Amino acid sequence: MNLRAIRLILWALVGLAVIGGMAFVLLRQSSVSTAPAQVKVGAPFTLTDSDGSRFSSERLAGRPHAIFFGFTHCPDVCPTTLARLAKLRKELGRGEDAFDIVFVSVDPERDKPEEMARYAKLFSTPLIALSGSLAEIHSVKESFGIYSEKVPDKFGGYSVDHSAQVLLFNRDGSFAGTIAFDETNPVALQKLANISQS
Amino acid sequence: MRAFASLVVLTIVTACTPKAPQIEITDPVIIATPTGGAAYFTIHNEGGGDRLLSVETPSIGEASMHETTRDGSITRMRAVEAVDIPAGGDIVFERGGLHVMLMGSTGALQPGKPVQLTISFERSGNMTITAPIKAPDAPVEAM
Repeated sequence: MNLRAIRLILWALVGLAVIGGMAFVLLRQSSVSTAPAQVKVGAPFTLTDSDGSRFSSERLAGRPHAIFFGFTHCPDVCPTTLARLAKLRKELGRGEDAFDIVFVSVDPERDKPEEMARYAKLFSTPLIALSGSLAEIHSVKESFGIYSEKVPDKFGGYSVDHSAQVLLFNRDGSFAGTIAFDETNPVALQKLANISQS
Repeated sequence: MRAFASLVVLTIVTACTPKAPQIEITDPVIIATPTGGAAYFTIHNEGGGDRLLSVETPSIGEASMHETTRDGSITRMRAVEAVDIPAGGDIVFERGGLHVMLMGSTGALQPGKPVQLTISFERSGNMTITAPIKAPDAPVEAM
Protein backbone atom coordinates (compact mmCIF):
# COMPACT_ATOMS: atom_id res chain seq x y z
CA MET A 1 0.00 0.00 0.00
CA ASN A 2 1.52 3.29 -1.00
CA LEU A 3 1.50 6.55 0.93
CA ARG A 4 -1.30 7.98 -1.18
CA ALA A 5 -3.57 5.06 -0.43
CA ILE A 6 -2.83 5.34 3.28
CA ARG A 7 -3.54 9.06 3.16
CA LEU A 8 -6.82 8.45 1.35
CA ILE A 9 -7.88 5.89 3.93
CA LEU A 10 -7.00 8.23 6.78
CA TRP A 11 -9.02 11.06 5.20
CA ALA A 12 -11.88 8.65 4.61
CA LEU A 13 -11.77 7.83 8.35
CA VAL A 14 -11.84 11.55 9.18
CA GLY A 15 -14.86 11.93 6.87
CA LEU A 16 -16.59 8.98 8.51
CA ALA A 17 -15.93 10.43 11.94
CA VAL A 18 -17.50 13.76 10.88
CA ILE A 19 -20.52 12.00 9.35
CA GLY A 20 -20.88 9.76 12.39
CA GLY A 21 -20.69 12.78 14.65
CA MET A 22 -23.32 14.58 12.62
CA ALA A 23 -25.61 11.56 12.70
CA PHE A 24 -25.13 11.40 16.47
CA VAL A 25 -26.07 15.05 16.89
CA LEU A 26 -29.08 14.76 14.61
CA LEU A 27 -30.32 11.68 16.43
CA ARG A 28 -29.82 13.36 19.77
CA GLN A 29 -31.64 16.45 18.57
CA SER A 30 -34.60 14.43 17.41
CA SER A 31 -34.94 12.42 20.59
CA VAL A 32 -33.58 14.67 23.30
CA SER A 33 -34.65 18.26 23.53
CA THR A 34 -32.18 19.45 26.13
CA ALA A 35 -28.57 20.38 25.53
CA PRO A 36 -27.73 18.37 22.41
CA ALA A 37 -24.14 17.29 22.11
CA GLN A 38 -22.15 19.46 19.69
CA VAL A 39 -19.81 18.17 17.03
CA LYS A 40 -16.66 20.18 16.92
CA VAL A 41 -15.81 21.00 13.33
CA GLY A 42 -13.22 23.65 12.64
CA ALA A 43 -11.08 25.73 14.92
CA PRO A 44 -10.21 29.44 15.09
CA PHE A 45 -8.03 30.44 12.15
CA THR A 46 -6.35 33.39 10.52
CA LEU A 47 -5.95 33.43 6.74
CA THR A 48 -5.47 36.07 4.04
CA ASP A 49 -8.48 37.85 2.55
CA SER A 50 -8.73 38.63 -1.16
CA ASP A 51 -7.65 42.23 -0.53
CA GLY A 52 -4.41 40.97 1.00
CA SER A 53 -5.39 41.76 4.59
CA ARG A 54 -5.40 39.16 7.33
CA PHE A 55 -8.75 37.60 8.09
CA SER A 56 -9.48 36.18 11.50
CA SER A 57 -12.32 33.71 11.94
CA GLU A 58 -13.45 35.96 14.80
CA ARG A 59 -15.07 38.06 12.09
CA LEU A 60 -17.53 35.21 11.55
CA ALA A 61 -18.58 35.27 15.20
CA GLY A 62 -22.31 35.88 15.55
CA ARG A 63 -22.85 35.33 11.82
CA PRO A 64 -24.29 32.19 10.20
CA HIS A 65 -21.88 31.03 7.52
CA ALA A 66 -21.34 28.42 4.81
CA ILE A 67 -17.74 27.39 4.11
CA PHE A 68 -16.65 25.78 0.86
CA PHE A 69 -13.12 24.59 0.13
CA GLY A 70 -12.07 24.70 -3.53
CA PHE A 71 -9.61 26.37 -5.91
CA THR A 72 -9.74 28.97 -8.65
CA HIS A 73 -8.49 26.68 -11.44
CA CYS A 74 -11.50 24.44 -10.76
CA PRO A 75 -13.83 24.97 -13.74
CA ASP A 76 -16.76 22.76 -12.81
CA VAL A 77 -17.66 21.88 -9.22
CA CYS A 78 -16.33 25.05 -7.54
CA PRO A 79 -18.07 27.72 -9.64
CA THR A 80 -21.24 25.59 -9.67
CA THR A 81 -21.25 25.27 -5.87
CA LEU A 82 -20.47 28.91 -5.16
CA ALA A 83 -23.00 30.11 -7.75
CA ARG A 84 -25.59 27.88 -6.13
CA LEU A 85 -24.90 29.32 -2.67
CA ALA A 86 -25.18 32.84 -4.10
CA LYS A 87 -28.43 31.97 -5.86
CA LEU A 88 -29.96 30.33 -2.78
CA ARG A 89 -28.98 33.25 -0.57
CA LYS A 90 -30.84 35.50 -2.96
CA GLU A 91 -33.83 33.14 -2.90
CA LEU A 92 -33.96 33.29 0.89
CA GLY A 93 -34.83 36.95 0.53
CA ARG A 94 -33.05 38.01 3.72
CA GLY A 95 -30.25 39.90 2.04
CA GLU A 96 -26.55 39.26 2.23
CA ASP A 97 -26.62 39.02 6.02
CA ALA A 98 -28.67 35.79 5.84
CA PHE A 99 -25.37 33.92 5.94
CA ASP A 100 -21.78 34.56 4.87
CA ILE A 101 -20.36 32.57 1.97
CA VAL A 102 -16.74 31.68 2.72
CA PHE A 103 -14.53 30.23 -0.02
CA VAL A 104 -11.21 28.79 1.20
CA SER A 105 -8.55 27.76 -1.32
CA VAL A 106 -7.06 24.29 -1.16
CA ASP A 107 -4.49 25.44 -3.74
CA PRO A 108 -2.52 28.15 -1.93
CA GLU A 109 0.42 27.81 -4.33
CA ARG A 110 -1.59 29.27 -7.22
CA ASP A 111 -4.35 31.07 -5.37
CA LYS A 112 -2.91 34.33 -4.17
CA PRO A 113 -5.23 37.15 -2.99
CA GLU A 114 -5.42 38.62 -6.53
CA GLU A 115 -6.63 35.32 -8.00
CA MET A 116 -9.11 34.91 -5.17
CA ALA A 117 -10.41 38.45 -5.74
CA ARG A 118 -10.88 37.85 -9.48
CA TYR A 119 -12.67 34.58 -8.80
CA ALA A 120 -14.92 36.07 -6.10
CA LYS A 121 -16.06 38.77 -8.52
CA LEU A 122 -17.64 36.11 -10.75
CA PHE A 123 -20.55 35.67 -8.41
CA SER A 124 -21.93 39.22 -8.25
CA THR A 125 -22.52 38.94 -4.52
CA PRO A 126 -20.19 39.46 -1.56
CA LEU A 127 -18.04 36.41 -0.95
CA ILE A 128 -15.26 35.98 1.60
CA ALA A 129 -12.41 34.43 -0.42
CA LEU A 130 -9.51 33.24 1.69
CA SER A 131 -6.09 31.88 0.93
CA GLY A 132 -2.93 31.60 2.97
CA SER A 133 0.39 29.86 3.31
CA LEU A 134 0.66 26.14 2.72
CA ALA A 135 0.95 25.57 6.47
CA GLU A 136 -2.05 27.76 7.28
CA ILE A 137 -4.24 26.06 4.70
CA HIS A 138 -3.07 22.64 5.85
CA SER A 139 -4.02 23.45 9.41
CA VAL A 140 -7.46 24.84 8.45
CA LYS A 141 -8.20 21.83 6.24
CA GLU A 142 -7.28 19.51 9.05
CA SER A 143 -9.47 21.22 11.62
CA PHE A 144 -12.46 21.22 9.24
CA GLY A 145 -11.90 17.61 8.13
CA ILE A 146 -11.21 18.57 4.50
CA TYR A 147 -9.25 16.34 2.15
CA SER A 148 -7.33 17.65 -0.85
CA GLU A 149 -4.58 16.33 -3.04
CA LYS A 150 -2.78 17.66 -6.12
CA VAL A 151 -3.10 15.48 -9.22
CA PRO A 152 -0.88 16.13 -12.28
CA ASP A 153 -2.68 16.80 -15.57
CA LYS A 154 -1.51 16.17 -19.14
CA PHE A 155 -0.62 19.82 -19.70
CA GLY A 156 2.14 19.76 -17.10
CA GLY A 157 -0.07 21.47 -14.55
CA TYR A 158 -2.28 19.93 -11.95
CA SER A 159 -5.80 19.64 -10.70
CA VAL A 160 -6.82 19.22 -7.09
CA ASP A 161 -9.05 16.46 -5.79
CA HIS A 162 -10.92 17.81 -2.80
CA SER A 163 -13.83 17.47 -0.41
CA ALA A 164 -16.67 19.39 -2.02
CA GLN A 165 -19.35 19.49 0.64
CA VAL A 166 -20.41 22.88 1.98
CA LEU A 167 -19.97 23.13 5.76
CA LEU A 168 -22.72 25.01 7.56
CA PHE A 169 -22.37 26.92 10.81
CA ASN A 170 -25.03 28.48 13.01
CA ARG A 171 -24.90 32.03 14.33
CA ASP A 172 -23.34 30.76 17.58
CA GLY A 173 -20.55 29.08 15.61
CA SER A 174 -21.81 25.55 16.14
CA PHE A 175 -21.60 23.10 13.25
CA ALA A 176 -24.96 22.65 11.51
CA GLY A 177 -24.20 19.92 8.98
CA THR A 178 -23.29 19.95 5.32
CA ILE A 179 -24.71 20.41 1.84
CA ALA A 180 -23.50 17.77 -0.62
CA PHE A 181 -23.01 18.58 -4.29
CA ASP A 182 -25.82 16.19 -5.26
CA GLU A 183 -28.37 17.56 -2.83
CA THR A 184 -31.34 19.25 -4.44
CA ASN A 185 -31.87 22.98 -4.20
CA PRO A 186 -35.00 22.72 -1.99
CA VAL A 187 -33.09 20.65 0.59
CA ALA A 188 -30.08 22.97 0.43
CA LEU A 189 -32.35 26.01 0.75
CA GLN A 190 -33.98 24.60 3.89
CA LYS A 191 -30.59 23.98 5.48
CA LEU A 192 -29.48 27.52 4.67
CA ALA A 193 -32.77 28.90 6.01
CA ASN A 194 -32.12 27.01 9.24
CA ILE A 195 -28.68 28.52 9.82
CA SER A 196 -29.84 31.97 8.81
CA GLN A 197 -32.57 31.78 11.48
CA SER A 198 -30.27 30.29 14.12
CA MET B 1 -29.79 -16.29 -60.94
CA ARG B 2 -26.96 -13.72 -61.02
CA ALA B 3 -29.43 -10.99 -60.12
CA PHE B 4 -30.64 -13.03 -57.17
CA ALA B 5 -27.06 -13.62 -55.97
CA SER B 6 -26.33 -9.88 -56.24
CA LEU B 7 -29.42 -9.13 -54.19
CA VAL B 8 -28.33 -11.60 -51.51
CA VAL B 9 -24.84 -10.07 -51.38
CA LEU B 10 -26.28 -6.56 -51.25
CA THR B 11 -28.62 -7.56 -48.44
CA ILE B 12 -25.79 -9.11 -46.45
CA VAL B 13 -23.54 -6.08 -46.98
CA THR B 14 -26.32 -3.71 -45.97
CA ALA B 15 -27.10 -5.77 -42.90
CA CYS B 16 -23.44 -5.84 -41.84
CA THR B 17 -22.66 -2.17 -42.46
CA PRO B 18 -23.15 -0.23 -39.25
CA LYS B 19 -25.90 2.35 -39.47
CA ALA B 20 -24.44 5.82 -39.94
CA PRO B 21 -24.55 8.02 -36.85
CA GLN B 22 -26.83 11.06 -36.95
CA ILE B 23 -25.31 13.49 -34.53
CA GLU B 24 -26.87 16.72 -33.36
CA ILE B 25 -25.31 18.92 -30.69
CA THR B 26 -27.59 21.18 -28.67
CA ASP B 27 -27.56 23.49 -25.64
CA PRO B 28 -23.91 24.54 -25.79
CA VAL B 29 -22.75 26.88 -23.05
CA ILE B 30 -19.40 27.90 -21.61
CA ILE B 31 -19.13 28.90 -17.98
CA ALA B 32 -16.21 31.29 -17.73
CA THR B 33 -13.77 31.58 -14.84
CA PRO B 34 -10.73 33.89 -14.71
CA THR B 35 -8.36 31.13 -15.80
CA GLY B 36 -10.58 29.45 -18.35
CA GLY B 37 -13.86 27.71 -17.87
CA ALA B 38 -15.90 24.68 -18.76
CA ALA B 39 -17.98 23.91 -21.83
CA TYR B 40 -21.20 21.92 -21.65
CA PHE B 41 -23.52 20.60 -24.36
CA THR B 42 -25.75 17.66 -25.24
CA ILE B 43 -24.99 15.21 -28.03
CA HIS B 44 -28.06 13.56 -29.55
CA ASN B 45 -27.56 10.59 -31.82
CA GLU B 46 -30.43 9.10 -33.77
CA GLY B 47 -28.19 6.84 -35.86
CA GLY B 48 -25.50 4.25 -35.27
CA GLY B 49 -22.82 4.45 -32.63
CA ASP B 50 -19.94 6.91 -32.82
CA ARG B 51 -17.05 8.05 -30.69
CA LEU B 52 -16.23 11.58 -29.56
CA LEU B 53 -12.49 12.01 -29.96
CA SER B 54 -11.70 15.60 -29.10
CA VAL B 55 -12.98 19.12 -28.60
CA GLU B 56 -10.88 22.09 -29.65
CA THR B 57 -11.14 25.84 -29.21
CA PRO B 58 -8.24 27.30 -31.18
CA SER B 59 -9.27 30.86 -30.33
CA ILE B 60 -9.03 30.29 -26.59
CA GLY B 61 -6.23 27.84 -25.88
CA GLU B 62 -6.17 24.35 -24.47
CA ALA B 63 -9.32 22.32 -24.30
CA SER B 64 -9.64 18.84 -22.89
CA MET B 65 -12.46 16.54 -21.98
CA HIS B 66 -12.78 15.82 -18.29
CA GLU B 67 -15.14 14.04 -16.03
CA THR B 68 -15.88 15.03 -12.47
CA THR B 69 -16.54 12.02 -10.31
CA ARG B 70 -17.60 11.90 -6.71
CA ASP B 71 -16.47 9.44 -4.11
CA GLY B 72 -18.49 10.31 -1.05
CA SER B 73 -17.86 13.98 -0.46
CA ILE B 74 -14.60 14.01 -2.44
CA THR B 75 -14.67 15.22 -6.03
CA ARG B 76 -12.05 14.26 -8.57
CA MET B 77 -11.54 15.59 -12.08
CA ARG B 78 -9.91 13.29 -14.60
CA ALA B 79 -9.08 13.63 -18.29
CA VAL B 80 -11.21 11.55 -20.61
CA GLU B 81 -9.55 10.34 -23.82
CA ALA B 82 -12.74 9.64 -25.78
CA VAL B 83 -16.45 9.25 -25.17
CA ASP B 84 -18.53 6.50 -26.78
CA ILE B 85 -21.75 7.83 -28.26
CA PRO B 86 -24.27 4.99 -28.18
CA ALA B 87 -26.50 4.23 -31.15
CA GLY B 88 -29.74 6.09 -30.69
CA GLY B 89 -28.56 7.60 -27.41
CA ASP B 90 -27.65 10.92 -25.84
CA ILE B 91 -24.50 12.00 -24.04
CA VAL B 92 -24.79 15.01 -21.79
CA PHE B 93 -21.87 17.20 -20.80
CA GLU B 94 -23.17 18.82 -17.61
CA ARG B 95 -22.10 20.48 -14.38
CA GLY B 96 -20.59 18.01 -12.01
CA GLY B 97 -20.09 15.39 -14.76
CA LEU B 98 -18.54 15.30 -18.22
CA HIS B 99 -17.25 18.70 -19.30
CA VAL B 100 -14.66 20.30 -21.55
CA MET B 101 -12.08 22.11 -19.48
CA LEU B 102 -10.83 25.28 -21.16
CA MET B 103 -7.58 26.90 -20.24
CA GLY B 104 -6.73 30.23 -21.75
CA SER B 105 -5.03 33.45 -20.82
CA THR B 106 -6.62 35.34 -17.97
CA GLY B 107 -9.88 36.90 -19.05
CA ALA B 108 -9.84 35.15 -22.45
CA LEU B 109 -13.45 34.12 -22.02
CA GLN B 110 -15.80 37.05 -21.65
CA PRO B 111 -19.56 36.76 -21.23
CA GLY B 112 -21.27 37.99 -24.38
CA LYS B 113 -18.47 36.86 -26.70
CA PRO B 114 -19.43 33.43 -28.09
CA VAL B 115 -16.70 30.90 -28.83
CA GLN B 116 -16.52 28.27 -31.55
CA LEU B 117 -15.91 24.69 -30.48
CA THR B 118 -14.77 22.08 -32.99
CA ILE B 119 -15.98 18.68 -31.93
CA SER B 120 -14.40 15.66 -33.64
CA PHE B 121 -16.10 12.30 -34.00
CA GLU B 122 -14.59 9.06 -35.24
CA ARG B 123 -17.30 8.48 -37.85
CA SER B 124 -19.10 11.80 -38.20
CA GLY B 125 -15.95 13.89 -38.61
CA ASN B 126 -15.68 17.45 -37.34
CA MET B 127 -18.63 19.53 -36.27
CA THR B 128 -18.36 23.17 -35.27
CA ILE B 129 -20.74 24.77 -32.84
CA THR B 130 -20.91 28.22 -31.30
CA ALA B 131 -21.25 28.38 -27.53
CA PRO B 132 -22.40 31.45 -25.61
CA ILE B 133 -20.27 32.40 -22.61
CA LYS B 134 -22.01 32.85 -19.31
CA ALA B 135 -20.95 33.72 -15.79
CA PRO B 136 -21.09 30.94 -13.17
CA ASP B 137 -24.20 32.43 -11.63
CA ALA B 138 -26.17 31.74 -14.81
CA PRO B 139 -29.14 29.50 -13.95
CA VAL B 140 -28.15 25.99 -12.87
CA GLU B 141 -30.74 23.84 -14.60
CA ALA B 142 -29.12 20.56 -13.55
CA MET B 143 -30.09 20.84 -9.89
